[in-house]
Amino acid sequence: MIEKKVGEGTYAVVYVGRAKDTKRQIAIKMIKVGEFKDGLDMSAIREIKFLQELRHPNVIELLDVFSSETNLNIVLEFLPADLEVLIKDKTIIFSPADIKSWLLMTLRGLHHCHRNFILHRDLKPNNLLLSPSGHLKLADFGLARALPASPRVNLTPRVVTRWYRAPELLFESRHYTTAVDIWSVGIIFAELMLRTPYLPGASDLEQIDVTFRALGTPTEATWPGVSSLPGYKQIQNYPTPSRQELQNRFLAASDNALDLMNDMIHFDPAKRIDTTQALLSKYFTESPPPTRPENLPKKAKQDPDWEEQALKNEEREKLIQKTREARMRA
Amino acid sequence: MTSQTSEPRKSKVVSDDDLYRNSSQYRLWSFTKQQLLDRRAECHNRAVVKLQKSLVEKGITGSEIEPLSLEEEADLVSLYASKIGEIAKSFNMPSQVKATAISYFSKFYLVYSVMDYHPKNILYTSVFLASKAENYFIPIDKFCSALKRTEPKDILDSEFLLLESLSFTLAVQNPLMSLHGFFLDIQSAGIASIDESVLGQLHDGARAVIVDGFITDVMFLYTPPQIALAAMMVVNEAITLEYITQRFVTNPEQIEFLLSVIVECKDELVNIRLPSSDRGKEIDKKLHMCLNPDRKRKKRPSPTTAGPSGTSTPSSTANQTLSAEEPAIKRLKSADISSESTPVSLTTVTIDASVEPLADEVPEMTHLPA
Repeated sequence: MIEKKVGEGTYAVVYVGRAKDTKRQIAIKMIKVGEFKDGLDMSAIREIKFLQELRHPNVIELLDVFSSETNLNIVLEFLPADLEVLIKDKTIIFSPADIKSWLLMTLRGLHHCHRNFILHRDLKPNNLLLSPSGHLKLADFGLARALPASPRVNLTPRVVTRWYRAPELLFESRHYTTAVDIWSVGIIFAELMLRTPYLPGASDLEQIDVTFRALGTPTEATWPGVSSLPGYKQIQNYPTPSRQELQNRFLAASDNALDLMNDMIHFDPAKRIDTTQALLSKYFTESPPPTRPENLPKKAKQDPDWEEQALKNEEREKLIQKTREARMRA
Repeated sequence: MTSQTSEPRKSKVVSDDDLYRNSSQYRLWSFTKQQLLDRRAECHNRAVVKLQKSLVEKGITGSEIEPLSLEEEADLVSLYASKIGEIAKSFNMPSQVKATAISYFSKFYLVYSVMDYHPKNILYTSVFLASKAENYFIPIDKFCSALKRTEPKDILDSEFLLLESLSFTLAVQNPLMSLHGFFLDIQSAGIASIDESVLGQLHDGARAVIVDGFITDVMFLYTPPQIALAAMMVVNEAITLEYITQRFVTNPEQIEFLLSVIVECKDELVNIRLPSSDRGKEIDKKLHMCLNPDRKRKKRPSPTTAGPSGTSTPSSTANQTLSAEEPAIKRLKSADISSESTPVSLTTVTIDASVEPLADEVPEMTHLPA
């Protein structure tokens, strides 16, 4: 039972509805088949492929896929909010325990993806959706791919939204791993603490500058092999920030929080921690304990403003058209 | 990094086996031998009934057109499946794409009979969809230009049908992944007395056995690690046995059971039965009659997209070829397609413009004189 249209996504029109039997709210992504020159859209294929295999409390649930006339319909659980909306809503105060809870749920969802050899490749607050009960779920698997069995396989470096893009991607590495997702989570962690994007580069080139200005310029000593990456550029030599400088930037962060963030945004992907290590970090066992999902802050307005959402989506539309083309080839 | 003091409370440990049991490959596409036989017989019988009904409706006597037997159908499916290797090779596709394409193709014929849909277009569509699902996307016009007598719409029209037949599950777990894992493990476990070159031979040999075995039923019957171990057994039984006994179990009963499964799997893996291409042509000719029962009466020239006109219901009926099917998908104008530029992805290997056209076998089989 369809209730209303909630927006146009990368490759689909999204409706919200309610399951007749359970009365549960659902989102239906209707993908027009035959719209694209090359048949079924790549994002749709990826989303179906991976969500069929993933069942986890912190990954958006695929409820059904069915066909109708000329549409392919993906039925997902309905998740009315996302982390980006909360971060931007300055009327809401995040406690350290809230941040810990969101980060924990993000890492749990990601751990499940990585255990299943799936790279998400587009982690950002906007893709971390929130259920009415406060549970965080990874969504948008339109750029996901399986971790290749052989290191000889070439991957496209043109993945992940710019601000959350790992340095090996900035240098156009063709052989990357699950570590690219960990970097994104580290940057999201920073954003949760700062309440503003941590590394907001205005262009791909500027992203490199912004990243290294904040974190210091990598060298062969700190990141062996960096200078032989395809897109490596010699850039200004920024000093690595001292612990005190970091502490000044992240005033409320505990030592363990800073350690965890640092370990997740290690330049050298080989030295970056994985989800298992992150989940076992002291940060999660020190006080305060993570807020229970049902007690997490929610968006001030109980009923999300769909019109505003639709407007926002319209603005995104142009960008989306570009993304679609790029994703076909990603 | 790890917390010594207070580990998170353990509620339930999710094992790797649990992960596999959650996969669509296990949930939807794993069978016993009997279940496989039953499924194929069911598709076959349904198509035979449909064909006979439509022949009666058209007033064609049964003796002129005969349905395929179950064996003929199986032979044709494996013959066409074996062509996927050639196509994959001509596009320089990795074996992962090839495995996935063969898997899609085989699954399609666990849902439909060749008397519902001719294998040719399903074959191409399987390769095309697999190339997308496995990140080896080739633009449709580029794809078609390398195939003889194939239009983009021949493929795009059945893409949705194929996806539907797969119950919208696209992930195929490849035994080559497991093989890779076993080799990393053999090396790190340091199984005694194995020379590096012997190990290399074992790896390459097992790999070849797995790739050749894609067209068997093995993927429906066993798990990827079982298949990988079985392939290793085929190449070097001694080392594989040594590895299994040293590495796996302390419990002799378990080892015995594991070995019995792997031996069974091995037999299935090397059980590649391909009919001769003469027999293939014979069956294809018969199939052509089933799919085009009108052909006999109206002596039309053999068009590239053979099929009767005017009989179009969206459902699959035995008297229609795929190309005559009412498209479930909006057809693209060929003009739209040819005018489109096709940027080559950074991740896909550029297909040389001078790609050799495929061996004529695949398309030819569908164009036998009536």
